[in-house]
Amino acid sequence: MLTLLRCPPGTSAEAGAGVHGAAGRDGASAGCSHGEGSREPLDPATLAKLRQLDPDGERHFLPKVLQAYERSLERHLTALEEAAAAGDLPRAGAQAHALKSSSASIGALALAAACADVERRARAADATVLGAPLRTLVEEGLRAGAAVRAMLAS
Amino acid sequence: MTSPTDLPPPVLPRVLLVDDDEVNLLLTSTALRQRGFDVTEATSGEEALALLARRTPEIVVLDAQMPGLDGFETCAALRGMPGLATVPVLMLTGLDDDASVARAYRAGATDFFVKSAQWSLLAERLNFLLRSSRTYVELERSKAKLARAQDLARMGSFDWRRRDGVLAMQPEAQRVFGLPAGGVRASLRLLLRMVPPDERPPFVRMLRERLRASAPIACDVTIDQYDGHRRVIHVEAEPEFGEQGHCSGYTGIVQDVTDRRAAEDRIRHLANFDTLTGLPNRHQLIWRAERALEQARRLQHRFALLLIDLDRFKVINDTLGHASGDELLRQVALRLRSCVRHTDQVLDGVLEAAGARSHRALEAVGRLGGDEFVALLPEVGSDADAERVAERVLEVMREPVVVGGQECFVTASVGVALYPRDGESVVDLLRNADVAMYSIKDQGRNGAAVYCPALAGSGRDKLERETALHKAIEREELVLHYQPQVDVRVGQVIGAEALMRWQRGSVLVPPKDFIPLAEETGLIVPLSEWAMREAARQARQWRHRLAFERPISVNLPSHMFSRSDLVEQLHEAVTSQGLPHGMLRIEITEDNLMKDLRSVIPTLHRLNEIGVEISIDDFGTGYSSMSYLTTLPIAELKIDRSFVRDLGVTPQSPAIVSAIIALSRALGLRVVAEGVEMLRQLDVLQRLGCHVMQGFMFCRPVAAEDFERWYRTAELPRVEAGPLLDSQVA
Repeated sequence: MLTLLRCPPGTSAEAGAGVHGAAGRDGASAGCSHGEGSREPLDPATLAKLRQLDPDGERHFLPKVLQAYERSLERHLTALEEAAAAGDLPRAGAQAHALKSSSASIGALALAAACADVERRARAADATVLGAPLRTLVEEGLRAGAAVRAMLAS
Repeated sequence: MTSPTDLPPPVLPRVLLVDDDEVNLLLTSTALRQRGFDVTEATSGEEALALLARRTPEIVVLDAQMPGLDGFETCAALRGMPGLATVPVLMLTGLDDDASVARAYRAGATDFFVKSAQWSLLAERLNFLLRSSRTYVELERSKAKLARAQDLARMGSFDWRRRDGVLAMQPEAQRVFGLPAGGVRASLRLLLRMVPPDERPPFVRMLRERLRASAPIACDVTIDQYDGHRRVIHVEAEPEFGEQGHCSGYTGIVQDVTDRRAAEDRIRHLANFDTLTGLPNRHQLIWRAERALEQARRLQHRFALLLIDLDRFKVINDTLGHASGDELLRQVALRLRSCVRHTDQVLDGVLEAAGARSHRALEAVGRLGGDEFVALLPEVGSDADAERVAERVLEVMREPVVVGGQECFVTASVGVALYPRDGESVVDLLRNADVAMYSIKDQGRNGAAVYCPALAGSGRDKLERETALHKAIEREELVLHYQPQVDVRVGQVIGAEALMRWQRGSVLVPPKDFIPLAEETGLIVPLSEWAMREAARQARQWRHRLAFERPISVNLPSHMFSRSDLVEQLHEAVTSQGLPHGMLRIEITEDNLMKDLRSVIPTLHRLNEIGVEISIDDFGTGYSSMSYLTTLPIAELKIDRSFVRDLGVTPQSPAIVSAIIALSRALGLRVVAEGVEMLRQLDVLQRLGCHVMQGFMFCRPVAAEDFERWYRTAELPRVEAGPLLDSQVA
């Protein structure tokens, strides 16, 4: 889980953009939003942008998104573990891709980076992906899930 | 959230958003709704296609990666659905996914967008796609409208490339040439082959010249389509220039103008041809004559104009009606056409093209108007050629024309004028043909004459006479001569007829030489008024000097009677001399009376009421209706001199004369015989019961002072009444 510390130079400091911005650009690293991003499981800047979509919170937009994400996360993590157990590389790659996008969207940047790493390796038919990278992804997934639940509870 | 403005809510652009990821779907749709889009969500390609089948959005946003039908497959599938071929599709891809971008375009996506949380960028991209899509739709719509308009106008555009001669034609342009849009590939060569062979060389020559000069092309060309239809195509093209300024080709339009040309031809025809007979009209005739004149001048030959005027057409028109008159003109036109090598259509420019003898095509018979026709002979050797045609004209008229079920005999008077002898201009030639034609009318019609200057002399003479006659009254050149009327039973003068003479210098012009002219010009009115005044003056003079108390007869034409002031005029003439009305007697010829009976009758009655007697002159020559005669307030019938002249010569004459006498007796009218010159005539008249006479036997018409002298000294024959007379008088 600490493989994602390095931030490539020139990466936009703007929240969100950095998630995809660095992905896959230079091999092992997947990129991050900012120095702070690795410490917080959910990127505050991204969350702030999400809040802007419902500034008064009238429509309970953020909770809805987080709930949806939580369901999605559960589903994907389960599927990933199944794929790993079956040694199904393409399936693992596809699940990582799917999880990457929504994770980035809610600010789970470390998780998104882990997803990108797994997706890339899986596409390259790198069987080692089922080892450490996948474990990293799952651990980040669990962290993100915990953070989401904590936010929903507050 | 409150609405940012008070304006009515605009119609939101409808977006179909397709994403399998619940979170992204929620985020993106929320962001787009916030930016003014009407978002419909779908979580899979299959659901999206099902929605699209029901309702077409203005734009589709597709996530590329989806389980089941992915974005590419969905895009390819929706492109095949009705109405969705041009709807913009935005594909959402990852940044690290170049392959997807290429795949997206191949699948028919309009654009791609890298997924991000920058919703405003996405919204801007959607707006841009919507704008360009609307522009595209507008463009397509106006292209369709243009195509439709061009199709209606039978118009289409084309481009021709000079380098390789490739001709690119719009389907509409293909259709103009009758070529199926998807069928034969049109080439310039193929199109040129459609031009009729005789028109092709000049057309190709014209194209070459234009091309050489890199000049614009604007022309009409006739083509024969493969289905056999002949069309007229208008071609209008502008040259296009390459970088070095050389003409690289032409771009332009072709239009089927067949109908317009037909309409133009129709208008030209109406402007140049007589609608009744179909012959060239005055305009066209003059035009042809001018061309013939130019040619004759240039080629030094003669040409002839024949002016053909139908005799007595007015009578036919009046008696049979206008419809029959028209029918007669149509039939006559057909006959006249057959007298020349008639050419109907002469096109501008054709003359020049047809070479030296082209003026032959001008030959025609045309209608100048009314019953006047002109034959134009563009080249004649001599008078004889023209006279032969004139003879032919008279010949074809000999057969009766059947109109309204009735046979009519129509004759014509023909006047001929030859260029250059009889005139140097069309106007002169027409006028001189007219002079020649009138000389025939004067000679009794139904004939032909070639113009000669002597005829023009008589025409000029006529004009001069007309002018002079105008001044005759004020110059006191008019005189009245008097002829006594004698009752032979008692040997007494019972009246006198005033006859107008024109003392023109030393010449005494007889009435027949100026009365028709006066009637033609309307001068007869002042002449007649003068005659009444003069006769009244004379009556007063004789009353004093001769104690002559008998009425003087004055001849009046019929239209004097239709003038409302005749009675006043007569009253004025008589009373100013202190005479009773009865001292003037009015004579009207039988012809004149019957011509205008309706309008004459009221005046006759008024004259009769104030004591003026009416006498019918030249009786027996017209066609009086006896029933009318009984109702007319007349006092006297004058037997026409022609019957008197023939008395004792032809056996019929006494019969006519005795009939007139019997009639006048039955009606209680006085009867007067005119033109009595011989004792034999006097004798017969006497025995038939006519006692009042005038004629050379007693006295010719003489000036007033001569009349006086004659009156004082005359020894009138006194004829004893015979047994026959006695019985008739009783």
